[in-house]
Amino acid sequence: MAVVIFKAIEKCNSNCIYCDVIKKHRDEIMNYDLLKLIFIRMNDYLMENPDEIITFTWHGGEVCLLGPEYFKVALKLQDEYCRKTKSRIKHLVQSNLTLINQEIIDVFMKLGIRQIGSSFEPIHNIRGFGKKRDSQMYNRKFIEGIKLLNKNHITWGVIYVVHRLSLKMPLEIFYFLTNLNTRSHPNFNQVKIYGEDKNNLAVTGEEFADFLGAIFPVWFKNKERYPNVQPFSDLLRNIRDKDLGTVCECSGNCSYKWIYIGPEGETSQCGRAGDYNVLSYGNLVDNTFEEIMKNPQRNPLAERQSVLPLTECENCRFWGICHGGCPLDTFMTYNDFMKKSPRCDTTKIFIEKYFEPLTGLHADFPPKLVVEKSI
Amino acid sequence: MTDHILVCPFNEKLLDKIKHNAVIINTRDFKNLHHIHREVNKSNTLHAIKIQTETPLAAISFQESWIHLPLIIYSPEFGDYKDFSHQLDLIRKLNIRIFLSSQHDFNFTGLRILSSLNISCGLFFNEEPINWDLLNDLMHYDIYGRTRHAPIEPFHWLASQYEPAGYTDYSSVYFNNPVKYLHINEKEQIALTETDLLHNNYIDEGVNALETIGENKKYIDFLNRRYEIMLQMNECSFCPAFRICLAKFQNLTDKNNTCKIFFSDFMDAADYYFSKRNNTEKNIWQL
Repeated sequence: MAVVIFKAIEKCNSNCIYCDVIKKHRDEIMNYDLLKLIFIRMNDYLMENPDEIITFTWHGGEVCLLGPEYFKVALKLQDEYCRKTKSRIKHLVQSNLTLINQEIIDVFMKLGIRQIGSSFEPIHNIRGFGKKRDSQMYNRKFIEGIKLLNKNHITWGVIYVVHRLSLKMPLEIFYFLTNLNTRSHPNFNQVKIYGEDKNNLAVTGEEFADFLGAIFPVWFKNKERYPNVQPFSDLLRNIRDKDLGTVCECSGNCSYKWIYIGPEGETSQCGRAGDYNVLSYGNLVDNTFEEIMKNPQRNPLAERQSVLPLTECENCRFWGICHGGCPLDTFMTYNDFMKKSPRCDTTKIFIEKYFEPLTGLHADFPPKLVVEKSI
Repeated sequence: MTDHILVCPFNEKLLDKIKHNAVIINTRDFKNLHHIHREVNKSNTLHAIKIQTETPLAAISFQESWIHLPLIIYSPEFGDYKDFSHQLDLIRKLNIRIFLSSQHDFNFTGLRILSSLNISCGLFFNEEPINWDLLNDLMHYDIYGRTRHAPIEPFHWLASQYEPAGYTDYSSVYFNNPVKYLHINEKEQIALTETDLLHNNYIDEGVNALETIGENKKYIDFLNRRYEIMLQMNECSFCPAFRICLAKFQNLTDKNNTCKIFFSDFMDAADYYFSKRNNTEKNIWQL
């Protein structure tokens, strides 16, 4: 499965304190000619790879700023240029939901979208509008958005970004988010701050592990109440069921299947790489999907999977769970792909201090062989 | 006609207008029960007759002729057990649920007695302070008790309807869940709950409005009210038991020693009941 992280717009109506995309202050919106080219490129790729599917993730910025017309055009272009392949294009959306309306939902549904990813923050003035980050107005608009999604039977879930202020109230945040949506549960991510931490929001790996550790006993005891809370569900599946397929950053096989496309057709590895202008794979105008997928700059990401088991991750019993972690995260921190992720301590501390003592399970997945070969 | 069960007074003119609907009749008059039963069933489906009385349960004169009537009695207190015991055999034959008030501590014992005598019963909540320990004991008896006993509400209803990854609103036990029940008076004024009807808090007027009630803004807002509570970001929105309580006691000042503990225990009990319900017993070969 190929994954396209598509940012037709990087502008946002919100001013979330930890967001790096809005700091780029880009106002461009991808024009319809380029949008058409994306569908042509996707069609070519899918025709050449008949067993392949593409997960096409509308990301931003805030995608709803594009307005319903933009999505209608996308639908029309897909119908026109991907006649034989459109059934193999799965659309996903990431939105803050504060601008969503029925017209947008109608076209989302025509694109086959039945679930939307979002974010929420119960602590005031972290996510919000304007300079003061008006979270009350933001939250009200968000709630209006989810009411509309519920009415249309579209499911939604949130990512919760754990920052310094969250550390004081892990269980309260967990209960709030699971009360807000009983069916689709939160994904807890550590805030990523590269460079200066102006707002004192960064948390250490140990602090993040302790945050997760405060929630984990409640989750583990009541898994039926709180299905699919991440990273707990995946970790349990990894360690108990030895099912090591997991999210991109821990999969160890993201090298040749991900593409970021920005508002001007620029491409890169993934959303994170696009956000930080790392790994430029050229413009869509000059490159096919196949060429972008095989860009030699991707090779170090794959080679990393052979290097780390012989170096920093040698004999590490957590290797099968994290595969060295996100290569982009590593590069942003050390300017080097051939190191393990700076998040390594979170994984180790959480599993050793909280997961294993409570579950009685033991993680033992040292590196055995090279998972992905470079092209 | 609406899919809702309508809760209304016994008024023939009104009943004529809501023909073919399932109804619950509110009354205070024990003498009129047969007449209600007969008249309502002519053109409607009688779901139940709810009798609200100030008479203690034991002092009510139960009648042999009520055997086929679907009855709910709301009584303030249990009363004298001796008086009750004389009528026990008859009460056990009736199609009845008996609700006692949470106002008096001795009603908690009364409900346990009723339940142990295999009489379906329940507790209704008054505004007076609730004895949360007694409430918790009663809930434990109903859910975990191994001796045979009749259901005690709202515990049994909630435990049997509970879905761990969802909201469960036990207001249905009191006919105050507008997804299933609506309240209407003689003037055809429609309310979402019994309290709303009493306080003239109507969402619409005229029986014709019932057909499109699903599009009524106040109705939709009520169904979405949990989101308003979440927006307030008060203690209820951060409470582990929100999904079964839905902030019914949000005006309590001390939640930590009251509702929060009770509903958390109640949710554990509901989980226990849920797992029991879903663990199909092993079938072995039969002799």
